[in-house]
Amino acid sequence: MWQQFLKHLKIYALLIKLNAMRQLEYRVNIVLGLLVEIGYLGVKLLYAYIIHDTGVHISGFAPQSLYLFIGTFILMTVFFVAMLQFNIMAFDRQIIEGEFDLILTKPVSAQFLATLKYVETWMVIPNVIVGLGLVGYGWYASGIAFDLLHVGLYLLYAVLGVLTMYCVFTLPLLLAFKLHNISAFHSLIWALWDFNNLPHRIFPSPIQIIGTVFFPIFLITNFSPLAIMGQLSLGEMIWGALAPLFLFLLTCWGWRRAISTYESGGG
Amino acid sequence: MNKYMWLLGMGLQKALTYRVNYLVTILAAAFPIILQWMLWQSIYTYTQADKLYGLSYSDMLSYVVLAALMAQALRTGFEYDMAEDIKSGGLNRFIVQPLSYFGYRLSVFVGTNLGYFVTTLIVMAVALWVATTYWALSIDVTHVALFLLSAVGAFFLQFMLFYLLSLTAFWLHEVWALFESVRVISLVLSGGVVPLSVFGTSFEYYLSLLPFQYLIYFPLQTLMGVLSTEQVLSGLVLQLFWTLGLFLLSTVVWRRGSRSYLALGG
Amino acid sequence: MNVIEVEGLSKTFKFYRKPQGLSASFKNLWQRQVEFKEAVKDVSFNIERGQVVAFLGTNGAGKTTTMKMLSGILHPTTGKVKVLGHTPSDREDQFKKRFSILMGQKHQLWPDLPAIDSFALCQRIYEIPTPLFRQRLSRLSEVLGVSHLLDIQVRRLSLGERMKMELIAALLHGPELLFLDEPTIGLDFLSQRAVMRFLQQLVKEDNLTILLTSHNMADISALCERVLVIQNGQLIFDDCIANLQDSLGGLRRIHIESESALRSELLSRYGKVISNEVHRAELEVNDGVANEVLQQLLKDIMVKDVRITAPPLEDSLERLYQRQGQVA
Repeated sequence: MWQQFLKHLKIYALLIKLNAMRQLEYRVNIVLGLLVEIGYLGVKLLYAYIIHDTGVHISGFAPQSLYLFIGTFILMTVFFVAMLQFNIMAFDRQIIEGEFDLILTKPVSAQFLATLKYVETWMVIPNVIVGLGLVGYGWYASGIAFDLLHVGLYLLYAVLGVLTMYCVFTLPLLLAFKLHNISAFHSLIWALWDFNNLPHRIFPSPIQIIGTVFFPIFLITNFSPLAIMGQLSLGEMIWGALAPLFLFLLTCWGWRRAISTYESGGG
Repeated sequence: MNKYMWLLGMGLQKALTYRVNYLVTILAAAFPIILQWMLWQSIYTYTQADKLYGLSYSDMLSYVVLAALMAQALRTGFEYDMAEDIKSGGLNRFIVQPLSYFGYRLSVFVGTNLGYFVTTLIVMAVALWVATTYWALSIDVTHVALFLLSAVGAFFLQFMLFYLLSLTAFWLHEVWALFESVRVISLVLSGGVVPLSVFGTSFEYYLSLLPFQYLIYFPLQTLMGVLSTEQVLSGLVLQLFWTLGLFLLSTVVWRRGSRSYLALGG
Repeated sequence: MNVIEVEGLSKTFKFYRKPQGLSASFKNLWQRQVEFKEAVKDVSFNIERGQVVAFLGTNGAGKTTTMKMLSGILHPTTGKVKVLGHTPSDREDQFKKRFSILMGQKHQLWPDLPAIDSFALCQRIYEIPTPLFRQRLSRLSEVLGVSHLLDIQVRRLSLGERMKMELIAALLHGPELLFLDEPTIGLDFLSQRAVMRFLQQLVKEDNLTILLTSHNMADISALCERVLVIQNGQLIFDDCIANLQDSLGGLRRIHIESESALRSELLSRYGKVISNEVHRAELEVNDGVANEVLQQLLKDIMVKDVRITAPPLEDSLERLYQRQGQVA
């Protein structure tokens, strides 16, 4: 089990390297990709600007803490764009064109190869810089101690957030095995993702509960800032740790089932 | 039947089969609206201000909702088809057939998006009704009429903008990133996310020199009665001016592009 | 020892019909007319280690489906499959490391990177120790004559060079069994020959077992000793190539060259005239009477040169399919 994990980790490291090299072959694309990300970043920062401009406190959070949320959201977007976005877009094509057939004959997890093969590298740099900057400023300005406990807590919930993100967005991909065309679903993903632009406490409590418990997109970016601000109840802390693991097991189980009944496309 | 009319019909049929997609996109448009609604609600409650950026709470809310819908109404997608045509030799068909590519694209665009556009306008009308009844937004019939005129103008301006953008495929190897970035930037600069007054007066002035604001900001200002009749009329003229200007530019670009296309042998 | 054991293998696909028009599309939303297609019906065969077997059949006959079942991509509907002692549909890693599948139209190399980088990925995926990886890579690339192309972007390579790279990628982990689905599709004949010669060498040196499908008869007659012919999902022939021709009632072709003009009416008395180009003609006769006819011909006509050959493989196959069609 541990060995399998290490093997996949090593393959993923190589995949990152290969993708980085592949993208370097097209310099113009890197520049344009940066442009896209800066565009989206601008939309995200628009919220930060409005908050700064009006000095609003949202659900008791001062603007400084809100930067912590927006910064975390931008950093999570890095993972979303780098790890998931292109795999999601290429996924149904993989099934239709039979590339998935080849993946099945490889001695690695088919789920791993099919969902994590593409990695976007250079394009996310502006997000990394701006996200780190915002989180750093928010952290400092909110007067949160910068010690092992808080950094550890932040990182722990960030990792769990990435895990949740992976599950929330790859679980619906299983529909592609049945429907073959899931393009309508893509636009929903984008929209849902933007829900994390502001702390989830801004929403009425039914939405908060749905987004935390039933379709846990709020676990992705909200829990790490909330944790270091001491704003998570014990119950939330436990749920925030258990739910991602449970979700991950569910995702793997779903994949195993889908793959075992998979019928290749072309005759 | 006119061949362009036929193409229009084909586009319409295609759009009908994608009804599910339409529902999903409208649904998807609802999420950012909810987010903004919450944000503005907090802001107006917190600051206790009557007006922010020149808009009252109800105006702001109406604007955000209507702008999101307007952005949906102006949705494009043909730029990818065009890039594909240019790169995979689909253009050859138009060189040997008595069919103008511009005419073809325009008919298909109108065909595919007409249903979409009108449906979204109907959704907007519902939103407007909600806004006038519950958020006390005051709307004048002449404003609605002028808005419809400017919305149609925006529809064609948007087409010209993306038609011109698609022509870059003659020279660019990979166009996805360019299309997406222009889409996002144009969305922000046209006032599709927040009213342009949020950016401050000087920035708003510079934006007024660009065509983008005639896509969403100007039609919505017309609708909400912020502008005087003279301002609306001059705005409409400028909108038309931009559309024609882009059209002329696109014919020049098209000529240069198709020359390099033919030189390469398609 | 058998590398592949197949017994009573069948595969049934479900599919729907959709009549023309939008209303039919809507109807299909709730109510679908499910139909079944038996892509493979009760197929049984064994393949021994070191054998090279060709899998022939028309488009849609069930070759690829069978191959997908042998490689674990598809689950059989019924029947038993053992490949290298494993059940393919269990998709065990240990099994996957022992075979390789190469499909002519599906590429696993990253087009934007040089082949060597994709090979590095293969190394990680198959966990090949580095010294072994280096040794195999240098041997394979040398034999295929592509050592100097390893650091060039794959998309810049010619189709033939690309196919050779794909072959290397498929062979780096030292598989014992190789499935090839139309490996030479789209290649020019020089590349086709190079690939085939290479495969022959591999079979000899590494005792590799190969199962290949191809529409290219030259590939098959060059490489394979045994053919499996499948039609409408059923195995209709399983023997060596020479016997394929004999089993069809053994026909022979007589090629004649003559100084004087040859007349078809005259020739048709001896057998079926395949072609007649005035001074050169080709006759088809039954194997048993070939000698008699030949002697008669030599007596009757001023013959400059004469040869007897077996009919081309394509013709034999066509007759096999036709005969099967009549039975069915």
